Amino acid sequence: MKFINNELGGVDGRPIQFEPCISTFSVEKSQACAQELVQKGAVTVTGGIDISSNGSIPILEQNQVPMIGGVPVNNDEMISPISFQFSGGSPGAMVAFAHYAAETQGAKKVAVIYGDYPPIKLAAVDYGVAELNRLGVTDVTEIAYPILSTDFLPVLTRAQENHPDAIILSAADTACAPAMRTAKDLGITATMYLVGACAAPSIADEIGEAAVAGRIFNVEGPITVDHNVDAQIYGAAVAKYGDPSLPAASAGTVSFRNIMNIYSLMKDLGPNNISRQSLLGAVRAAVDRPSFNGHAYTCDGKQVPNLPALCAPQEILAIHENGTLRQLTDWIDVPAILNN
Amino acid sequence: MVYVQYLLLGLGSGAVIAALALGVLLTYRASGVVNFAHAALGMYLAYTYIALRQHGELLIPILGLPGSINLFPSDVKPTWATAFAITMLMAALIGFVVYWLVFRPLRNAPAVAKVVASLGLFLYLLGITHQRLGSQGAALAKPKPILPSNVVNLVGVKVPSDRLWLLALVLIVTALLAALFHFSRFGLATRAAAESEKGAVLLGHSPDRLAAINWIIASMLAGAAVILIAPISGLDPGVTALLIIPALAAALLGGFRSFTLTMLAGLAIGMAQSEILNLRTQFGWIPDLNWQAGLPLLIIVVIMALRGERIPSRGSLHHGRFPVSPTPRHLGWWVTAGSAVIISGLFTLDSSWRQGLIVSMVVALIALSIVLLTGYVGQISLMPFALAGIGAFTMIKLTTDFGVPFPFAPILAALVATALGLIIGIPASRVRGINLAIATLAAATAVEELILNWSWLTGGLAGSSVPRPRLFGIDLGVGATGSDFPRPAFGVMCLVVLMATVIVVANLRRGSTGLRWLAVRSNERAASAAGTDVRRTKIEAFAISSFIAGLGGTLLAYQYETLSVNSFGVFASLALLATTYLGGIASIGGAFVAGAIADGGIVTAAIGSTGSGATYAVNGLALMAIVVLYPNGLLAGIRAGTSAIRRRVSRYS
Repeated sequence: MKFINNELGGVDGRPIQFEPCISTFSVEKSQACAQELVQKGAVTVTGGIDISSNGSIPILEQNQVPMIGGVPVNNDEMISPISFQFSGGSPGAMVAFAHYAAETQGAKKVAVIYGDYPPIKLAAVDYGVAELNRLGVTDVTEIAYPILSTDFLPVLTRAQENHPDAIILSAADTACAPAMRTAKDLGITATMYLVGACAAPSIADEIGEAAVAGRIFNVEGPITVDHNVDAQIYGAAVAKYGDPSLPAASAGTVSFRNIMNIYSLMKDLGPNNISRQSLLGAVRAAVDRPSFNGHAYTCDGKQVPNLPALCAPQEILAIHENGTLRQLTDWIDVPAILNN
Repeated sequence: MVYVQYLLLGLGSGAVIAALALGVLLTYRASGVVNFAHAALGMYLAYTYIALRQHGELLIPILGLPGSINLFPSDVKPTWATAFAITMLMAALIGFVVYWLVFRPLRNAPAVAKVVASLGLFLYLLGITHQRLGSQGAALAKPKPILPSNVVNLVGVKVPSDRLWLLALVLIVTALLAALFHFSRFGLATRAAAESEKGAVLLGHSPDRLAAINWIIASMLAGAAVILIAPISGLDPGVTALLIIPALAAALLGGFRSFTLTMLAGLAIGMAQSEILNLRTQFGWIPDLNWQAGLPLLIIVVIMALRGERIPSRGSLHHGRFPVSPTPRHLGWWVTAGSAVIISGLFTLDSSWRQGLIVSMVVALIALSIVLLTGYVGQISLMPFALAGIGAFTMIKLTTDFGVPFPFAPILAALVATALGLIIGIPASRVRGINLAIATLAAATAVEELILNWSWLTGGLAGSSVPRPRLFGIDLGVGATGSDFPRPAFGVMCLVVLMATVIVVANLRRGSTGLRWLAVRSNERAASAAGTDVRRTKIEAFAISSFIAGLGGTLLAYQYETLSVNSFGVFASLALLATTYLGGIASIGGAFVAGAIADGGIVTAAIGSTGSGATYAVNGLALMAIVVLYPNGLLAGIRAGTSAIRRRVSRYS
């Protein structure tokens, strides 16, 4: 926000006021945050990771406050009519993985592993497995594991038994390192697909190159910085205003995208025309509207069936090779795949 | 053959659970404390080890002091052995300080006070870890594992050797602990103190010194265990700290007495989880529920109920007694005055205060279920929020799928919660004290994993949207726009339900039922000798308490408007038990204090909350300080203070 107000001059000279509120993963606090922001006259809300967003969403809905951007981890953020996410969340990633595995990799046998937690399971089964089946891959082994798992050995052994061509893992970031390390120890050769959080450099440092090499991850923006102006702007903003201890690839990139996209909407509306209703109208009318360091978004509620809030579910896949992350695909058009 | 293979594959998981369970058992044998913070302590120490290895920095676990100090020049990183040794020294220091400052003063306090203190320690360790790690959080790189992980072939399955090394270490530690307790003078003295502290004192042993040494060993075990298991299980402040649940289950199966049995129980749980995974993927007809997490805990509850009393009670010098339960007096006055104050608040206060008031009322209602069952009858149950969750989701299901109107839907839902409470309560009535607490903790986890995560009940993709309550055309829903949220009408409904429950509970407490409850609480044998049907009394209390919790859950559902299973986790129950205890677990006022200080309640509305790591640490510290200073709760402390002043005044007048 400092970057927007200081470097970009706010919305035509008027600074944007930012009111943070931490939900502490508590439904009551999430609810209180939403009400506090409503009371303060917030014209829009942007979210971070909030597994208790079922507290805030109903209040935002009743007050018609748009939630523009966030890290959609809860079903509520993905289905609410006032929520607009510049991401495909886990469902988008699972569809992209399934599609790439079946169509490009030519996988005939796939194991889908997922944490036994409703939103994660939903993404893996209702989107990942469903897409595999739709593409004719019927030899799919579904393996659920408890979120409080103490060892991935039985899980990956079960996955390996059927000699799969691909293993898709839908999990929280805490599972990344132990799962990849165990897969390496077991000598699993199937292509392994993991969520973008698992591509963090610190994880590769921790488990070693051999455990990460060849793994495929989803990313929600081009990973090369050289010709990517948005990535350079982000880097400059972090260098000047950010926390130096914050890793470059983190939830910060998503938050920065959210704020920049909100800024873009506000700028188009003009400082005297910004309101909850006008923002709602503008974001709902967005068709292939450019997104900062991400895929253009369309908020017509039809990009992902049953998850109307996901406006930009397109994904890029990247592979870890020779100690670095290399872009493997261009944007995978998840809406086109799902609406095919 | 494949079944045997999966049992073997579970040995790694089992070793992880057993490693933590051994420390839990050691702490209990040393001081009678079931330390819910044991895994959290290990997690903090594992981060201490990582910071040393990565940066040569020692994390300082004391709030207010600098986060870390450099022990080595910036270009020198200690070897794993050096970092490990320094971490073990820190573990020893923390173990000693925690025992001496927190649990030693509580050695004569009731079991529930120790539970509350260990929950305070849990919160403190989570908070201080978050604060020390700052924005690095989970992104903090971890050093290379200590144990080698080359793969070996075990009966046809590949097993990375780190699991086998861990298993070997667990076996060695178990053998050492068993030998220590059977053959060494120190171990025999600890066992003697556990049987009879008075006897140990007469033989020249200091129970405090023995307990402190055992706490030091247990802390070192916690740190070593988590450092070694982190590469297998991953390391995350929230997730690792929760590994205490299977560890407690293993200690429970081991009877909280035998290191060998505890180790075997830990291995058995891990192996069972692995086998369930195998069966679940092999047989498609098995219902799609989280059996791995839920089923072993459910089996433990059943075994425990069948076998009756499990945990040996310690022969402490003074048996901790529950706080005095004052007879509710001037009920009409309190209800009328309280209602008048709340109603005026609902119609005059601004939105955030109204919200705080409503949260406080709903939490106070659920806390009343704890006052009744734990405060009045002495049964420590850690499942009020699981029952509240059952009430909440059932109410939605009844309304949306079966068209049951308000107020019948919440009442029926509360009855369903009552039925579940009875299913658990009837067998659980065979156990008591801290063992009942752990049994209900296991049951609550099983309910969460097997029922509350069931997509049929929770609505799956569509989620659980809560229908608005309406009575005779009057909208009693909470939702409104702008400053009209939350609607006072919803607050009035909560107030009516709360006050009606208070009147019922107070009258039960004042009547013959209450006397039976207190008789059972103070001495079951004496109560039985006096003609009280102890079992029936307990089951009756379980039923009423479950109904109240279920009813509270339906109000929570109406208040949230959309539901998620996150709201009903076991640690919500633990936190509520802690705050109710602080308020005064044996009095109705205690439930109101718990409501007031609940997250999002009126105290939050008054002072606000940033929710940072420091806040958790401060809350944890406050919890430990209050329980040490007022082991019978704040209200009892205030009453005692008031009585002392009165006595002094009357002496001089």
